[in-house]
Amino acid sequence: MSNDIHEDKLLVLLEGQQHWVRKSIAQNDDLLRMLFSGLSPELAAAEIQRSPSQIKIVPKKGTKGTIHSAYNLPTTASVLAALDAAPSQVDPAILMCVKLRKIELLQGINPCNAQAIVEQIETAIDCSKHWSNSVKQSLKKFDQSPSVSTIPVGF
Amino acid sequence: MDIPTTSETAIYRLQNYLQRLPLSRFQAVEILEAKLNIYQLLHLYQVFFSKQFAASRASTLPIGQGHSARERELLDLLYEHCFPLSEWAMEWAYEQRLEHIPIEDKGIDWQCEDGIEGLLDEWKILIPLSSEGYYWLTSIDRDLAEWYELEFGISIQTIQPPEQVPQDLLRKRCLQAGTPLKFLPLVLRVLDKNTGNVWLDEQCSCCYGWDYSSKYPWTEASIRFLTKQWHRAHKAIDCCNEFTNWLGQDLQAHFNIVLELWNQPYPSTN
Repeated sequence: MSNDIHEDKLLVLLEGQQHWVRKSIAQNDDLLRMLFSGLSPELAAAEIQRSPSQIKIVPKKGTKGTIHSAYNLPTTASVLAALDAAPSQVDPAILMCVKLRKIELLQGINPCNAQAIVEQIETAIDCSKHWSNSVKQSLKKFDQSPSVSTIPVGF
Repeated sequence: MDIPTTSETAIYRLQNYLQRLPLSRFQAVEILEAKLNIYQLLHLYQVFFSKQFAASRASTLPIGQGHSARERELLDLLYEHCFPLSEWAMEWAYEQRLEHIPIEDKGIDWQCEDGIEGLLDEWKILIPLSSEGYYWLTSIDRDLAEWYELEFGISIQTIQPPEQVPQDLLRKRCLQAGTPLKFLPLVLRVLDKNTGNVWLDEQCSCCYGWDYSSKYPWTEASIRFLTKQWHRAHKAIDCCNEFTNWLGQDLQAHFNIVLELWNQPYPSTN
């Protein structure tokens, strides 16, 4: 029965652990990174190694644990600048709703596109859930991190 | 852009102008899940019944909260060629969307409310031979053992408890006894809802609640799996019928044959 369950999925390896991922996501490097960044944000830049038998996610080595890391701590200003520079993004589920509305306005419910739309909706729902999880994790980390008093410019 | 050919199609398409953008991801996911259901059914129709789909002129527009005429055609075809869909599900499809493939128990649900009342005698008499049945008759209420004795004139004390009957040996002895006795172990598994087949083991959702009912998504894998399971269930039901028909021909005499086989001493496993 397990084969039936994984029929439309592919096996993805991350640090020795096996994950069954929907084909529509596993076949796309960006979607795969987006999915796994929910587990750990640094996986957003991970390397994807593909072979005929498996897909492997290799996290990029960071500076964690090196002697320089203590001297490279981001400042409040650099964090704010990074946030400011980050592109604004809309939840994938909301984007898909807008896209579908446009499709149905132009074509109505067109059965010829059914398979493609099913895949796109499933991917959007999965990505939206992972987005939401990663936002929750980030907020939890913020919540648990020690507070640092700063004096805003102008005071 | 295709020109809509009916006013309903035009209205449906124009409604997309009026829809507000979802305000949250929850709202968006809710909308997408409802749409996913529509497109999944249309996709499955094309995969499993491509000829009928190509010939169909039924509308793809959902009617109110229910399924479109085209989607209901798929339900009819699944019923005809793949597995049973209950009457209530077919009716429900006019008013509400079937979020999952509806599974209706096709086995024996004697533990359901009033289930025992409607059970045929040839099934009822077998209850103490099933694990669940023996427990029910001996542990829930003393009156139940008396009820069984009054109903069939057999004392529970004269029946070996199922846990003392090694299943592999029973199976071997039943096989040696030939048809229809060879089906006894299967019949008892059906009574215990322990066949491993989704169509025979499904619990009654009215008694146990929807949380306990099987939820198979509308996917190709689910349809293939449920179709395969239904073929097996159908064969099992035929075997059970053969056994219970034989039992029903002379209930007392034939049950005594079953009991003789059942009560044979089994070598100690210790």
